[in-house]
Amino acid sequence: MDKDRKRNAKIKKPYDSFLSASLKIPADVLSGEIKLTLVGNRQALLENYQGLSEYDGKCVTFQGKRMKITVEGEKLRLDYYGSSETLLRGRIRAIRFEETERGT
Amino acid sequence: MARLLRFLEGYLRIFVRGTKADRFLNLCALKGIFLWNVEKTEDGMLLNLRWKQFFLIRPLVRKTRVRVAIRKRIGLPFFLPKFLGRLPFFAGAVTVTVLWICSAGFLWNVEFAGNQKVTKDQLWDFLENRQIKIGMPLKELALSELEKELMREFPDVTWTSITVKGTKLVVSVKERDVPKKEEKIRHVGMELISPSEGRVVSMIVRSGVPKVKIGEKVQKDQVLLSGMVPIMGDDGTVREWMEVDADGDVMIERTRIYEDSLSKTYLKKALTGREKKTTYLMMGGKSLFQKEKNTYYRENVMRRDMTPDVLSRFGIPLRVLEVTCQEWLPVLCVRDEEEGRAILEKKIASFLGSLEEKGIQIIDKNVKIDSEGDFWLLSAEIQTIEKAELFRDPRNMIDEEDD
Repeated sequence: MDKDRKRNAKIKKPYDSFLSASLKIPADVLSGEIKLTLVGNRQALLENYQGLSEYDGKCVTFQGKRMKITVEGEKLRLDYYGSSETLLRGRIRAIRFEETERGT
Repeated sequence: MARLLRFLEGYLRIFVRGTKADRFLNLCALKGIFLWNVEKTEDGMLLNLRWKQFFLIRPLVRKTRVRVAIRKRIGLPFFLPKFLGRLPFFAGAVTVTVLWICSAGFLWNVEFAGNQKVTKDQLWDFLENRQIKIGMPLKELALSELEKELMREFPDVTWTSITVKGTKLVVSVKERDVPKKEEKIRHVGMELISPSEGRVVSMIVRSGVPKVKIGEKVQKDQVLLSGMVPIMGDDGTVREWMEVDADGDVMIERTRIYEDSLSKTYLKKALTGREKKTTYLMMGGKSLFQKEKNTYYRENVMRRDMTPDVLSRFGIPLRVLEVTCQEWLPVLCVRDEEEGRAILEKKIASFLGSLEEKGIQIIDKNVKIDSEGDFWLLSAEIQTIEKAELFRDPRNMIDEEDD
């Protein structure tokens, strides 16, 4: 229990989300969170990620500032891959979000 | 557009294998190396990158210890050297293109449409007389002038349109359905005269003074109706002459003589069975590879146009001509009486038909066919009633007499 408490304490509170809400600035600008745009279940546009942590034809995991996004599906293919934007194509079955510590 | 730019710039399809392939992708992205079409395979991944950036990935490959292999080189920088290696082909392609562009400015084909009475040959002659030939520059064509000249040259043509379609000159004409009546040149004071010797059988006078009576025998050129009408004075003398246009229907009965002969022997073209077919490729009326020549001393020549539709449809001035030469020999044949009579009867029937077409009434005919030496002789006396339609200006006669 103590370990969990210490761990939760390490996760910083998202002040930037509060700030963006009060200043009415788009959340992704200040927080640097991954922005995910879906077109049906065939296409997903990801922005503001830090990198790719896992990739095979059925599962792609992107590392963000505070979370990992895992896209699961079939015949997943990166239409293009740049430093801040990527377009994922294929048949998307599920998207999972996993909160992580900052920078990990 | 992006695809085209990538093609122009040139790119590589590479295969990346290793445990840290994901990291390799991240490092590429961080270095600003743009990757696309990233696909996972069983043992690695395939991806595209600009060929100039390929040299930037070397440190990243070392760092991540992946193995990279080029699978495909795509784009102009890879295609062009191969292409330039085949310089004759390239030169040929350029020459053909240049020739094609240059030839587009010249006339390569002429098409005639709508002509029935005016033959193609007449139209060709008309064009050739105006220096319009295959291969001439299109800009030298004065189409509106040509249309006017064509209308003047052929009175039966009521409408014409000459246009240029691509490299083809299209001459469309419309002809008069009803033949144009020949305008009789008649002047006031002209007199109607007899066309031949005969007898007047009926007369209707509309204007002028009759100079003959019904039943009277007339000579050739005798005046039937005079255009000079006397105006009599009170004392019975002619006060003045009034000139009118002599007009009336004067029917004359006359005898026409028709004579014809037919040889009892004739030369017949007997085919020997020997024939030769030759195919020529023609351009502008001239054979391209071999000249047309006589195959046999005596021959029938038949020409057949075998040009594929596709050539004329695209206005390509090439024609395929199949020429068949059949050898023949002259054979002397003798006509029997029945055959000779049949031919001569056909001739006289045709002559009588032509008379009836002119409106001449045939009242009697006496046809004789006799044999004389090597010939069959036909002589016919045809009694006809026909209208006098010959006019003469008496003033011209006076002038001639004065001269």
